[in-house]
Amino acid sequence: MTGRLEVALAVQVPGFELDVAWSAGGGVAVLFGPSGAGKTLTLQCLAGLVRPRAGRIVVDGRVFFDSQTGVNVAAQARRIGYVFQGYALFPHLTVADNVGFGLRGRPRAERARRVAATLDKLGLGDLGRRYPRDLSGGQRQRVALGRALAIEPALLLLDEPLSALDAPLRRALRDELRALLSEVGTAAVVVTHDFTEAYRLADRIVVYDAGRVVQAAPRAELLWQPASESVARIMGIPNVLRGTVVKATPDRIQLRWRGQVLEAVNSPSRSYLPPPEAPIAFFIRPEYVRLIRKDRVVADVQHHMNLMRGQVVADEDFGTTYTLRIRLDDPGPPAQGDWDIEVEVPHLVYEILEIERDRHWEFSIHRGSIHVLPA
Amino acid sequence: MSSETTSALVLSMQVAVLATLLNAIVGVPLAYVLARRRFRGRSLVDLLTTLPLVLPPTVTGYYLIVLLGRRGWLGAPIYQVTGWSVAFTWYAAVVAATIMALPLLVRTAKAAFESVDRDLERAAYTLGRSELRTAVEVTLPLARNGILAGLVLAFARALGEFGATLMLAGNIPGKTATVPLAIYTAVQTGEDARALMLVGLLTALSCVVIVTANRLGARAT
Amino acid sequence: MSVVGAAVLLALLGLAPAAAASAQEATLSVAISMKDAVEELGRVFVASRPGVVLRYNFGSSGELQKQIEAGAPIDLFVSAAQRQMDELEKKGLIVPSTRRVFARNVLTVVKPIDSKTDIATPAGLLDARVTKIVIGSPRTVPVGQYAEESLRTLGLWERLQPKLVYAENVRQALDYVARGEVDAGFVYTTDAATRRRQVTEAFRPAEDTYRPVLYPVAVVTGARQAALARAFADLLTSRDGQTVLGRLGFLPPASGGR
Repeated sequence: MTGRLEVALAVQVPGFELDVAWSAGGGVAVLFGPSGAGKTLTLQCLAGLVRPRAGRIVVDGRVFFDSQTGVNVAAQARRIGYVFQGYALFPHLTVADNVGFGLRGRPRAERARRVAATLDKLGLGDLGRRYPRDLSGGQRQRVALGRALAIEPALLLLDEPLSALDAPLRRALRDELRALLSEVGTAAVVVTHDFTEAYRLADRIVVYDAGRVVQAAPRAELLWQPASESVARIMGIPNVLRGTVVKATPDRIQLRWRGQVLEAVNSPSRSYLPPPEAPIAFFIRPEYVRLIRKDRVVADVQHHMNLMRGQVVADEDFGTTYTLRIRLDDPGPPAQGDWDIEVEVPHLVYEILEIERDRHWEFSIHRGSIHVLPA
Repeated sequence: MSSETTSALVLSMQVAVLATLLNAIVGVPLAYVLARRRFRGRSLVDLLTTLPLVLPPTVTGYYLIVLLGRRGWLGAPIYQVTGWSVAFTWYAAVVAATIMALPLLVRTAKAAFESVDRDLERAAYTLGRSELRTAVEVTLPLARNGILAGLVLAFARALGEFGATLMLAGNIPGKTATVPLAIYTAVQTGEDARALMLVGLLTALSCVVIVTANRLGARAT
Repeated sequence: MSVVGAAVLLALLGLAPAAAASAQEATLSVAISMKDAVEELGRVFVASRPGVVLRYNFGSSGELQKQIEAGAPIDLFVSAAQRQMDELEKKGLIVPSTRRVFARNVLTVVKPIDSKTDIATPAGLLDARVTKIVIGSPRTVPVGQYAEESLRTLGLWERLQPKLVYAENVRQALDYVARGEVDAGFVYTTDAATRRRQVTEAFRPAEDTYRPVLYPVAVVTGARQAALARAFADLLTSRDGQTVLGRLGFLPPASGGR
């Protein structure tokens, strides 16, 4: 695998300032975050289409930009494959001519061979003579990919490669893209605002928010240990809650929330030791809340950690799962509107436990499923 | 058709074709630069290229004489060196027609260039094409229909040019009398039959031009 | 249309007829070479006639003739040649009894004041250094017609054709010379005098090479201010009128001028 990336950029455009630094060691790095956070601008800087005010860009050992030494390699010379949002296929050229556009310098026979090989690899074999307007969305995406890959780039940039497609197509193409990227082995930077997509495609995720990087980590780490409350919110994690510290040790943190005393594991990536009475943010994964069956023995505090009781005040059917909204029995205003905690149960569980009819439940959460969010 | 009518027609066609050609050569790159580049003085250039569209033709004609006459800023040095002045020659008719028609071409071509998705140009850059080659291989073909429509409009304007031509080229039958000037003379001298014929010819030509421009405009994406 | 817009439009429309109704207004179409003379005499004319307004319409005689033929509301016509007046008389567009010649002019050839070319005689126009010569458009402009006549008589017309540039009237021709756009031009001596600082007379073609430059005046048929028009024509032929004309360089009409 090629392509170690080192990126440090400061860019100013009217109304927006970007100031980021991150690195990736080959593979797929995903820039993830809400729209307008500066992800596309970063890609444009990487490609050489926008010149940063200051910073440094190194791809695979080649310095493309360094404001201190005055190096700025032109976009034409960087050999970076860019798949634009909306694909930017040349409407007046055939698919074959689009794919071969970057191969101008080479002898005709070689160009034709490479174009054919690329079309083949992407399953576009017999579409060479067609024009982009005659193709479906999925086909166009592949032509855009092919055009970027044909030049055998050192780095691939993909800007929201799947957002123009409808949902079922997205899932299929997402997996195809993942396979293709690992097969081709070129380092890639993908931009997306969809976390599932980011998770599926990435080796490493760089989280953007308002022109800054708020976390850069391998994907699992991001999933389980968002660096802060705002990162958790960007990821769309539910049950981001606030409590008060009772006691913090390197392994565990005890906190008070809604009349309960909960025990959570401490963040393993950093030793977070807030003092007692300090405010603390944490989240609970909805699918890790265990409802306690009523035909079992009475709930046992030793066995069942973080035991709580509450009423299901709303539920939503998502086809394969149900999302329940539970309000704790404890008095006081609920933490999220008129409910406290969101719980996800598989359809089967919902039916077996007859939740539709029986709305009051005890539930427990393993301490490892309560994640603290360092401030 | 008298020889004078024929010569007016031939002259008008020569002038209009040449003026349109000049406009294409100067105006298309100018429109591209105005559409795509920021530079100091850009609004001034934009203003200057729009002015002939808004000023009365006689005013533009006056400026042309001040510039190109024997005592003009440009005309004087040329006259000193070569003993030749553009005024009262058919080249003056070409100059007047070119200047008057330029804004039409530049504005239309500029809009055509602006309508080309900039991501297409960026894609070409990442694929190794220089700015100039991208402009020629990507932007220009995609703006083509708009530019052609602009050229057709410029041709029509050049064909019908009167005021500035009269001032810079004069109204010399056989030499600078284009069809619009010949119509003017025919009316002045009471040659109604001739005036009618010339008017008819110019109207017919203008209709062809309008239809062509519409067709091209409709095909522009 | 907004109420304000309508009000403005009505006001503008209302003004025109109101203005005509209040004053006695006569419109004179005058050959442009007569401009200064007529304006000066006009001032004299209205000085003794309170409430009278004179409006002038200047142009080449051919142009003015066409306008009258097209029905322009003109009261008096002053032409720089007999031909245009003849055509109008043939069509009954002027009152024959009011027609008379009141002045004469002389053709001259002028060159720009800083011209280095010496053009002392008509043949001098053939010099290679003379590249452009302006005359009035021979079809419609009297000074052009006289110039053509003279050049034909001198046998120079064919040879000078390539150098000729046409002007719409004599003052435009004069202007071309004054601005140095041409090397020489045919105008009247009276015109040359108005731009003494920019042009100089090169030579005067012999008077027998062209018919006399005579200025006829006549009242237009159906003139609304016929009385005023007649009065002005009388002023032109009166002693006071002739004095002013003489001062500006015009000659008295040759005997037998009608």
